[in-house]
Amino acid sequence: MTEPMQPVSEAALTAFDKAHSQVEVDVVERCMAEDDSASTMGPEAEKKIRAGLGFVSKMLRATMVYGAQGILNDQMDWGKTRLPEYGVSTDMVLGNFKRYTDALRQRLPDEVFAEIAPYLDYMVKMQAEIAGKQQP
Amino acid sequence: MVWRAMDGHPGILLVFEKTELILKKCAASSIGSLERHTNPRPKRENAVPQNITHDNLRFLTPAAPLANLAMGYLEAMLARERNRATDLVMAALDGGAPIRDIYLQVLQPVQYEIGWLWQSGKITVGHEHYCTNATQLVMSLLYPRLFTGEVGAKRILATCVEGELHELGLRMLSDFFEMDGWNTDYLGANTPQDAVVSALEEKQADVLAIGATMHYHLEEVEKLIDAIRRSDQAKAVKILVGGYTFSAVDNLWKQVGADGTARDADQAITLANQLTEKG
Repeated sequence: MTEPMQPVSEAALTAFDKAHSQVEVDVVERCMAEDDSASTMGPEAEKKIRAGLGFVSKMLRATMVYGAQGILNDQMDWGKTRLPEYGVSTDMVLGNFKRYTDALRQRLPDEVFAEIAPYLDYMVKMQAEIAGKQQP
Repeated sequence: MVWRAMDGHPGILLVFEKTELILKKCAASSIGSLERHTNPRPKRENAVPQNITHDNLRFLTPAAPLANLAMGYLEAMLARERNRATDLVMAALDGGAPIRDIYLQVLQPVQYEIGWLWQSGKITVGHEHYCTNATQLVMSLLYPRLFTGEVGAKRILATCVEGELHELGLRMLSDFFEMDGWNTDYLGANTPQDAVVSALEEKQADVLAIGATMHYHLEEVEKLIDAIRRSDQAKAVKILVGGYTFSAVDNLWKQVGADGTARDADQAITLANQLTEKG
């Protein structure tokens, strides 16, 4: 049983709405520069990663609006089965969540990021468990 | 017949002559295709994709009522044999199986199975859409048998929020209400907020059922409920919410401002009756 989280403020949601598209672009760029995504995901790797990150933003937003981590739990559980079909491993998802967190940290004002950070930390922690990794 | 250009320009004439040649070729081709159509169509040998075995299934169990029918229906769908699937259901109904059981024991679990087979990569999204649309067709064919009883005074309107395309569950729910004697108005998938409010004002429904599958449509549900509560003519309606997002995550129904939620059709009907009891 996880502790309930506070829904984030309207101001934080507005800032997130303004930032997330560029954050997705930032993460896609890092993925394509640092990983050999095409070898596992095929020639449409970039398109798939972009679509996946767009989905992450939508689900994260829904979670933050209602303070409902259950949404993230459900989606990550779904991803365990579905994402390997796109050539995406649990480790890749974990790495991309960390990049997503980094990009948001850079794009958002500190006070907004601080409000959103518990959700990002939770997302990374849960995905680390799925991937069988200990988080520091 | 030879086409002649009115102005006698050779270039134009050439164009007309070429056109005539093309027309002749088309005519010959049409005759060929007519001849082909008079021959019997070769029978296609469809089969369940080889990567699917009983071990892949999650929702169909051999001990369940109508399990054989459900398995046959699933196999027909996976083989893209829509007519065979339809025939199986119709034969079961003719044999005395209640429509309600067909919904609960066949159509619903098979659709869950189809969704799972897509999620686990055993079938494509196109195949999943084929099966879902075929099941909607089967449901439509059941309507002459379904919409026969007398309906009572209560009315329910059912809709998916704007953007939500997963409508099959809500459509099934609406049919269950119809079987329970309610007047039903089913608006379907992806219905704009204004249209739902207008329909409520016009129909004066006792209950509104809102369906949402994707988590990111929750805010649309909340906005719709807000809009309804702001309408003098519609605000008294009792609002039930349901669909995957509400069954996957507890208590979201309260946060969007609904009067209740239900995990299945029976629960929804019981709740709707309770909420609309005249005190």
